[in-house]
Amino acid sequence: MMTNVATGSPAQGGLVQSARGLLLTREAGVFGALLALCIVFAIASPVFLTGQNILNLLRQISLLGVLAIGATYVLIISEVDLSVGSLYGFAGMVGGLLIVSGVPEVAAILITLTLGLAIGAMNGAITVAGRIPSFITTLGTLYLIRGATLVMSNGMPVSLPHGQGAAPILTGLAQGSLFGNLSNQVLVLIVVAVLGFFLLHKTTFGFHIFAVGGNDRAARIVGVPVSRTKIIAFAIAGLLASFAGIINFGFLENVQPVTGIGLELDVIAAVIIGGTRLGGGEGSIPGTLLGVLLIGVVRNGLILLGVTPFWQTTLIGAVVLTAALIGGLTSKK
Amino acid sequence: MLRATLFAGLATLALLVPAAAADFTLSPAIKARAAAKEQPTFVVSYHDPALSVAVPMRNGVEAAGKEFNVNALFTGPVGGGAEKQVAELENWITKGVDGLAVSSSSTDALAPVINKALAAGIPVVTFNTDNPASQRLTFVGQDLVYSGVVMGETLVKEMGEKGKILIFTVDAAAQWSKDRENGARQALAKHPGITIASLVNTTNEPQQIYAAIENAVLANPDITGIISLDCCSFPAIGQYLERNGMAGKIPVVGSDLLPQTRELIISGALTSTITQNPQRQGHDAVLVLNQIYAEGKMPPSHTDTGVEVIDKSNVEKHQAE
Repeated sequence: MMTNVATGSPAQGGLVQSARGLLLTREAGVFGALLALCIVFAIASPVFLTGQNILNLLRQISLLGVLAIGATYVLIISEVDLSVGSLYGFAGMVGGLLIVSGVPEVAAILITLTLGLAIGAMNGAITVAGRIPSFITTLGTLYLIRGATLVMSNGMPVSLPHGQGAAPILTGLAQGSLFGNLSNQVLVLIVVAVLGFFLLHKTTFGFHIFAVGGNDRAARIVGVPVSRTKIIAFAIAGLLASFAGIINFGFLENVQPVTGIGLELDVIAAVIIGGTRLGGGEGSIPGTLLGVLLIGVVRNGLILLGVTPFWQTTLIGAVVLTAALIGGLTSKK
Repeated sequence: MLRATLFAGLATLALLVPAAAADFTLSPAIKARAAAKEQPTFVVSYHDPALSVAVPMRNGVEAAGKEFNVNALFTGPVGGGAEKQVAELENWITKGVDGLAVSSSSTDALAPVINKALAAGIPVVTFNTDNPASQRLTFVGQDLVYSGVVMGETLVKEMGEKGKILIFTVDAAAQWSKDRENGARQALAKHPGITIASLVNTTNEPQQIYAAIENAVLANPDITGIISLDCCSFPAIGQYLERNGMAGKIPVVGSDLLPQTRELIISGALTSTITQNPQRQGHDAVLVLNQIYAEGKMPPSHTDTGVEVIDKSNVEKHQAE
């Protein structure tokens, strides 16, 4: 017997409405675009769906994912952090210089993370206290931190001594694999994503983030600590950027003064593609992860296909734009 | 009105197209300073001073500054960018320096400003990366096409005359990359048994460099050789091969001798590097400018800083650059 969904029971109607609601979310649109892209790459390249390539791809997106989760908080409060790419390079350089100069590894990691947290909080505090658009504040810190990285390194890369087992905790975290061939970097991303999801979607602080991003005046009237919420959001972004930066050093065993240049654009693109509204008040961690995955799949797939470098750049732009459009058109709002 | 417009147009053209290098004359102000034996100021503009290879260049410039008792400044747009380099050079021209050495981030974008400086009587030489579209007085550096040829020939020597190779570069659109690529392709074209699977543009970002290598090698498991056209994707290739049990199995030829490159040649993960002696490039750029300033001596059209192949047999004798 056929059932007419439109005239089904109230319970059935609710289910259908939920399903329809789910299909109309921005995340569903991005997921659709991602799926379509994966099908195209899978048909075009026999390597795309191999286990090794999927493992590579997951590792390749992990650090971008960690950075993008931090940026999601900042964008939901209707701000932007342009300094994350510089902070990522700076953290690797600070951590690398400390380790190479003989500071105990754990201390070096903790100092680096504390610096990242402090710089993030400083971005928030300057924006809030100085009533400066975060675009300007973080543009300033982008240059300040990049300059500091160049001065510290004197323009030279910093490397761990080759093949001597230096920095075992960091290299183990960045290069090792606890479960089969799955890189620990992917586990790091999963842990950060779970914590990020819980904090954003299941706590009062997360509620404050959405309230501030939706309407900060209204949020202030109902007692939400707007300034504190903004500073904490920036601090989270700073902490995660420095965390990703030091893991990058552990993975490559090397950091260049140019590490992270332009990375903030990838980060912002991933978060926006994932459904976070530039105007604030909307966004999710799963959406951000989809955005990160989409950028990773495009880069991975085009190299597998051997597409010429100049076309790669064009196609990445086209795919990102298409995914954002699909996401926008399928969004409920 | 028409006459005034024509005059203005011709004046602009005169700025953009200076006399040939042989006809170049120093501006009266520079001539006067040289005659009075004043300490000159030379600006050496590299297309991205944040790159690791810029450090030995800067050392060479500073060493030459002390050696010849001149004020030699090493500068350039951090992170690269032709428009930023053009703006910097325009500012130096306005300030009135006694000589410019330029490594162009883009041939076409930089040629007019180089010609503008020459038209103003400021001697301009190019170094590291030439600008053949300009009227520069000389090029101090490696013949980049030739260095690509040496890369190709060195790989063939290691790999044999049959196989499939990958070429990596951090910036496929840059003039230096195109020159080396052309050279390598010329050398490889002499061996019909060799095919180039792909030219992979990694970008400058270290994580993206590593990811691009990982993806390209996975997509081409049958490759028998690799060429890296630059300083910075080269060590990442060695690192990738070492971590995946492929070190020493695939010959890899690249460029420059960064500290990590040196260690990976010693460990056998990388095969050979073609060095360009960046310290000498920086030093000789200042040397040539000082000869023009102090002695009025015009240089030949190319001051070659040479090509040297470094491999496991001689790497211990060389310091990282």
